[in-house]
Amino acid sequence: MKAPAVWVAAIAAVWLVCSVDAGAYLKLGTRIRGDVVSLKWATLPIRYFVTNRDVPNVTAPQLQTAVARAFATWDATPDVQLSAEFAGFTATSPLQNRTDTVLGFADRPDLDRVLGSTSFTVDTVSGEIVEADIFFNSTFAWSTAAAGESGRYDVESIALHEIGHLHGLGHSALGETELRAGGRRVLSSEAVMFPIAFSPGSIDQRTLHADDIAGISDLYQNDAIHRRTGSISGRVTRNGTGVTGAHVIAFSPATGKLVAGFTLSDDGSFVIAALDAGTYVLRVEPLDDADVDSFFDASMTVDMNFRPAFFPQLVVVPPGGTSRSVEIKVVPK
Amino acid sequence: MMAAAIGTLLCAPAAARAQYVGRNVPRAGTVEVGATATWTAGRDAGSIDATETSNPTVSTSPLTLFRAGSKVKPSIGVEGQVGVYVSPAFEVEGMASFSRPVLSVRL
Repeated sequence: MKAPAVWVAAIAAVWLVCSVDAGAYLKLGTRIRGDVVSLKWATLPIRYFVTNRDVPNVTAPQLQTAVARAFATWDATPDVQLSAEFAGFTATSPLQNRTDTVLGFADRPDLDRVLGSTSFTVDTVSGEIVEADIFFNSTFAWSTAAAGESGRYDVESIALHEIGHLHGLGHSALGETELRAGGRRVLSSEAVMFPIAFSPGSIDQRTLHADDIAGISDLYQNDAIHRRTGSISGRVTRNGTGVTGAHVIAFSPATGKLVAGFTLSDDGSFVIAALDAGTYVLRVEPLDDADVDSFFDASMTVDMNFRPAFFPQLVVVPPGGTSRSVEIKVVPK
Repeated sequence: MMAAAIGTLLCAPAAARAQYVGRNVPRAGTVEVGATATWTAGRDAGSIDATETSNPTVSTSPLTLFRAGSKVKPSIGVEGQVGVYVSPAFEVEGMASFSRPVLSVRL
């Protein structure tokens, strides 16, 4: 995850893997024998170690407690059968380990705009995550105080974001930023998986949002989730041609929830899955050009030459089904 | 939509019912049919903002992306009743109504 004024890509693993089509926002994936496969855990609970290293203001046990709360928050997602188990403290740094799942502080002063990062070892036959490591950059000031501490980043908030990656989620674009002298500042976000952190002292990102819940529910689909939720599929087009990399937002007027996805192919098709049943307003907008590298790898050409638009009708999402296919037409800027 | 449909039922004028006296009392098997047109007034269904949580150092109020204002448009419909007398004093009656209220959203 990035610090508020950032430009460095946060997740090393994202550079190596592809975005998986069909899903609530982005899931991490890898290409296996020509097919893109979602990265996910097949063996649960996820057994993790915590590096036995203190940093100013945060001891290793305090880090472990905050990390456990963050895991528990993801595990509490309705109907998603995730679980994690603390296996003990270790002397191993998360940056050196490739055999066990390790979370801990590490010194990376060179990454002066990266708060934390997640890396994976993946079974290249099945796409199963074998182990993953999360490091929290000790270059920054940290806190585990219940109410947060001014000038210090909240461990639990950043851990919640990184553990989302650890589970296989990519970044969400549900957020607004502004360019300022020295970097980019986040104005707002509606997803823990937004790539830029709130300012030091904030604890607002300790809670999952609808977009995060849809994403993890989509990634770890099961019968209960399938029966309860539905999806919206369609295309974004400009003069009849597909638009790649468009950000599509589904808004429920009944609940106020926002869930978003992307068009990830040349024909401009998208799927936003694991939505609560109901009616939705659909809005499409171009990605902020400053954010592209946080969402897609360099091989993908993202089209940003269009104006935001709404689909002119409400879209009905049935439980256990898919909406009729919609086509959202946009015009050039 | 459901509220609109219920409104349609409640607002529909009751169909005129026959009053039987003396030797005009219906026999068992007599069928009674009624139909009526209904109209439901439009109404404001409220508005809601699509918001994001603000970075607390920037603002304490949520950031509004857009506002969706909902309105149920006026609609007409039809309602019908069918009754069958089981005996001169006991009638089994069924009723159905149909209308298509349209929920529109202003952005």
